[in-house]
Amino acid sequence: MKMKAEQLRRFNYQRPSELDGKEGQQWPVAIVGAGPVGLCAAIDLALHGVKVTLLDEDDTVSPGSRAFCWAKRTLEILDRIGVADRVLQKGVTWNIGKVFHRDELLYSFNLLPELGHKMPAFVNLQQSYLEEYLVERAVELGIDLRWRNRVIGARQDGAGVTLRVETPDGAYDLCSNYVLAADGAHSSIRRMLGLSFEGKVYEDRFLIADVHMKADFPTERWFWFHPPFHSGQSALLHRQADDVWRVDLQLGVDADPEEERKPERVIPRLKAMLGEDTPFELEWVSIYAFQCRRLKRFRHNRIIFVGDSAHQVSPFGARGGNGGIQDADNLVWKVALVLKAKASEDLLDSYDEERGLAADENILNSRRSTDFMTPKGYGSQTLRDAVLQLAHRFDFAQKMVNSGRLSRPTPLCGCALQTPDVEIFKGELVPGAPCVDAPVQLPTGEDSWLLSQLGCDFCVLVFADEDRTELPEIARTVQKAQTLGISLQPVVVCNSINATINKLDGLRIISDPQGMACSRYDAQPGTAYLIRPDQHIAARWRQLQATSLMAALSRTIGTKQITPTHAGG
Amino acid sequence: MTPEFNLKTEDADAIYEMLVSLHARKSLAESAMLNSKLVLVLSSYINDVERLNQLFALASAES
Repeated sequence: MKMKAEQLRRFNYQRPSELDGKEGQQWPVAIVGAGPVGLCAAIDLALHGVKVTLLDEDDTVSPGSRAFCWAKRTLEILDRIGVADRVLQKGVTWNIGKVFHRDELLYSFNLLPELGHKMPAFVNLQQSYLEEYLVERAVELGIDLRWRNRVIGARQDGAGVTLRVETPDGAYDLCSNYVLAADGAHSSIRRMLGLSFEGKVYEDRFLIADVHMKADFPTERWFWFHPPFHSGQSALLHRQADDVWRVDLQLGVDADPEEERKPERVIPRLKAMLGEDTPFELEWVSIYAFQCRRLKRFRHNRIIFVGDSAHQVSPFGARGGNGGIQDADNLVWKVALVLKAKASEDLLDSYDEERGLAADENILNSRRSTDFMTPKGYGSQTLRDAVLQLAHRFDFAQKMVNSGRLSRPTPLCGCALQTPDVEIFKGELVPGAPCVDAPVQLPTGEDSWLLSQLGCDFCVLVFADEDRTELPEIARTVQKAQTLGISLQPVVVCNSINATINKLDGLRIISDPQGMACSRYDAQPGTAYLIRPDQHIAARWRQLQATSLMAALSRTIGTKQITPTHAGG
Repeated sequence: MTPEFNLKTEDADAIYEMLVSLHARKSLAESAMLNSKLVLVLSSYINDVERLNQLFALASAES
């Protein structure tokens, strides 16, 4: 049901020049699918200086909310590629979740009790808005966007991929070195390659609806087990932008999807939930079933799957959209290095290893949530209801209540590109973990954020001592490492700064007036982190040395042998 | 004295999943039998009459 389809933002189709007999160029990268994942990948590639074309069979943004709950790590990625401000401005920031059993509050949780992060735990914003902002950013960067270009064939050889593309004016061939298949859960490229999509398919049907209403529910995630208004099932309520609320209602295994999507079925259900007298307008409805599946391998030579085309999860946990954007974040810098001949093609296999790990974690969590919400058989039904009963009084049972484990970034620990610690550090920032943010100050005195200083290249983050005597030595060490030919930005964190050391030897100097960066990175004077372009930690030391820095940098661009991937089991 | 529980969410999820898979494809009678055996195994392992007395009271209190 596309109730507001006529209001969807529409983009211009342009007749591809290939149709007029012009020899098409070979694109470094072609991306199929202009959803959030494809768009993020395109923008990030452009920021890495890679020419990219983006094809989409449609010419509108996605109807309805679909993915709408964007996690902190995703917001940090969106910030890096230049769209987070608009998302924060338009979206609804929330940190609190509440879980109800029947009409009683079981417990509530706060996802970001800690201060000193630029991004909140979650922002709710309809996928359509995010897509619109991403398209505008892509246009700003001059990215070639091809609307109403449907891929109907794909073949590849050692030199590249040829896509057969159908447009309103006819079909043509498009050649590229690599293809990123971001064409969603029903990926046609996956089908063309004959790849199997393995995992668990659930029979329970869920109704999702976008409802426009002026309501005074707080800006929190509310989840009900056995709600009084929807007997025996579960329900979820989330606020989005523009007074639009997202409702998810469990319908069970016997629900008829065709019947259930009819407004005369949907509206009474919503009235029961929202109140007989609450005026609302139904904007969009969809019925879906859960799936937890993945491709065994995401990279198939020159065709690489990202987002839902590679893996699908059940939605309670916001792991689909967030996981997909984190795929793009992981893959893009690797593709860019390979295209610039700075790394061998084997580096792309690390995408399979690292995001395979993340997909497995997302699938595990979403499978567990789904099993909790839709118990099958006497044993698991009784177990579930026992947990809910005990959770009214006991904390240990609340821990077992699973209304969705919300998306968190997967630490890429133990993966081939990371250099294991040889010294002792406290905290969670092990090699493979994503960097955490902290408030910092620029030499101009302006307040900023640590993550904003890391840029799109490799970065070496060094914590200096009080009198900053080692700055020239840090600069020399980094210069030595730069002879490897990989862009490496040194960022030095000092206790305080003044204008005289502002631009010393290419070092970017920042200060840590509140000491948060220092404590979050368990830093002592001299502590150094090697950070990947996707803001994940590749290695760290108590003292920066050229040999270990160069070895770690070589390792993280895949110069060392990559061990066989364990993903896909 | 109420017993203390120090369960982490990840472990809670893993334990719950194990229990669900033990019950998979079992009839009502089989599940009830399994539950009784689980209680006996865990109780024997805990082997602390005082503690078990408290835990049983928690589990059997009307909520």
